[in-house]
Amino acid sequence: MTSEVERKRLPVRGIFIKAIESTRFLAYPIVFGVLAGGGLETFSRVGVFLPWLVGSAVLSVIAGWLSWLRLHYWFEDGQFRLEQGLLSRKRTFIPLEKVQAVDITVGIVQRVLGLVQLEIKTGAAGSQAKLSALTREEAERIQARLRQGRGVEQPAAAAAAASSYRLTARQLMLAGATSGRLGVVLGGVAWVFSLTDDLVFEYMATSLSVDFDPSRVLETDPLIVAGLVVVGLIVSWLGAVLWELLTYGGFEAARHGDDIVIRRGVFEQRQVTLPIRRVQAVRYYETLLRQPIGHGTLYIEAVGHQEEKGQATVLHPFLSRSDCQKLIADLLPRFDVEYEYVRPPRRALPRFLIKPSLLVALPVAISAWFWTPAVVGFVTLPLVWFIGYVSWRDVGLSLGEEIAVVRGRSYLRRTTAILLRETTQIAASNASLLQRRRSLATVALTVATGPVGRTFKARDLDQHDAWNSLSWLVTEQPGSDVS
Amino acid sequence: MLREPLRDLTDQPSARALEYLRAAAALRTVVRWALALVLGVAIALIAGGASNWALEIIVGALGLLLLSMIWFAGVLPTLVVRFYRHEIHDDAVLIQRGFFTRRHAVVPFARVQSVSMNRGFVERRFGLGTVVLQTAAGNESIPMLDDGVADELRVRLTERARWSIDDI
Repeated sequence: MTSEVERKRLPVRGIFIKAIESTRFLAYPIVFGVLAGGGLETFSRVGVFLPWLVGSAVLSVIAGWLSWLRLHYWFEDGQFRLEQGLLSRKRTFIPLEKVQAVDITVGIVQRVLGLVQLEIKTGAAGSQAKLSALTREEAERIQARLRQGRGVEQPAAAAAAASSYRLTARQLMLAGATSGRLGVVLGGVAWVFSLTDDLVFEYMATSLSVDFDPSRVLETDPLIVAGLVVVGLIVSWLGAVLWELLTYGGFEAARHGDDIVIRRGVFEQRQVTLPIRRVQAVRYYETLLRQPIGHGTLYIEAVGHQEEKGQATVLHPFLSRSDCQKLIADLLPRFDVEYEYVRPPRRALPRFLIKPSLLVALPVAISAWFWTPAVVGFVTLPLVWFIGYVSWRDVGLSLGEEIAVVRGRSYLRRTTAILLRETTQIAASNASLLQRRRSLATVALTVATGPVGRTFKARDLDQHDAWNSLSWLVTEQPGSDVS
Repeated sequence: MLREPLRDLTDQPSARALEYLRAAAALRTVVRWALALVLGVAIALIAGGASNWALEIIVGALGLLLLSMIWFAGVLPTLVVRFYRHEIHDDAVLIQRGFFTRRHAVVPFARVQSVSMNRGFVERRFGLGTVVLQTAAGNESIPMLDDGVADELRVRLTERARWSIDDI
């Protein structure tokens, strides 16, 4: 097999991508300079801007060319092999059967050059191969090759999927409107305002024909402040919607044979290919904003696969509870089971009410000591009790023959996790002094995902039920050994 | 197995575990306070000369050191030591620990990727070792075993883990 050991290079166009990738840091001084020094003139005035730019460009092309020269990849002995590095040569050998996932990303630069980036992920954290510039055909060929190596007979990813899930424009808008990114964007908008506040104040003051005095603006005109807050909120919300649109525009999740293929993104397009048997758990996340409209985000946990650091893979960004069931039945049939929850006993309820009440009541009481009107804060207590009660109601654990379902709430969001028994690594029961007084315990099931795994908890269950989860992990016939 | 809810497991750590816990806690406390003291003195010197309160502060610090010694090295180890337990079953290891929050964990052999032994600086002085079970999702450890016991256990667990290994 001569083609087996044909060592390949990236296409020549890839030099530019390598160049941008390897010398991006040269641009940082400029960015910092502009942000801190206030304007591009600083550079042109000192006469460093142009030489710096030209120098950076030349340097990066040389660096890109050198790293292009050094990079080779090929298939040999049932392994994908990658050799790269200018000063320290690095070789990566990945046995084909260890391949966990293949990600194809098209960044803006790649898009311009008509290239894609391919990443091969393995179970080990950090041990992976990245080819940042490939033609689409070559990427698909590599992908087919990797699939073949795993001994999977199936059509290429380009073939029609058995069933696929998309987002309608309306869903996309709703997802943006209810996404938790609002806070993040809000911070960004506040920062932009703080940079430009003088300008904005001046503009608004003149347009409202108010005498402008920056130092007194807060005292003199609450109208301006209120206006700014409203504008800020609207801009933030639009930002969040836009963010969601860009991230999940063109979203599609589908099953191709034994793989799940997830596509998304407008500017940066991303395609994740995950073997179904690598999926360890799925997790349905309902935030405060989304639960009332009956929607949530569905994540998959797979060994070693994370989209970005610390982020689980999104299988579907926004879907209703019933659609979630359908999607799981379709794409991940192993996780599709009937289940009934074991729930915390009634004697556990006070634990859900007392602690949050104290967390709210104590600060309010202390503030009221110094400033009497602060007692108004106590009106939030019923809300706290409501959340406590709902949290108690939400907790559930179901131990089936092959899978476990763990549901819980951390104040504002509810998580429902479905995990496989055979990939659950550790089962534990934790009981504090106070819990033991009421014969309660918290169950913690840990699955392998990312470098340290992820633990799902069901709190304040009856001790017997907690103990059952330990036997559940060990015994061959679950349920048969229950006391 | 696993019939009674949250009972204490059978196998205990070494008889020297209590001494070890005391020694380790004492060392930690002293190091922590020594660091605090050095930092405090350094700050005082940089800030300019000893204040009128220097003596009182040092006496106070020593008092706090004494109190935390009594608690961390005196009381806590006696409370905690009883609850370090483990059991080796045919297909899994059970591990228990904790006085305030009691944790019972189970690690099936089929999930154990490797078994290692750690012997810390203080542990070595007491001839103790910690057996660590590594899974694909973090570690569980059985601490404060007699050297010989720990070694034997490590070998046994490694054997077990080897013939029940499966691909994740």
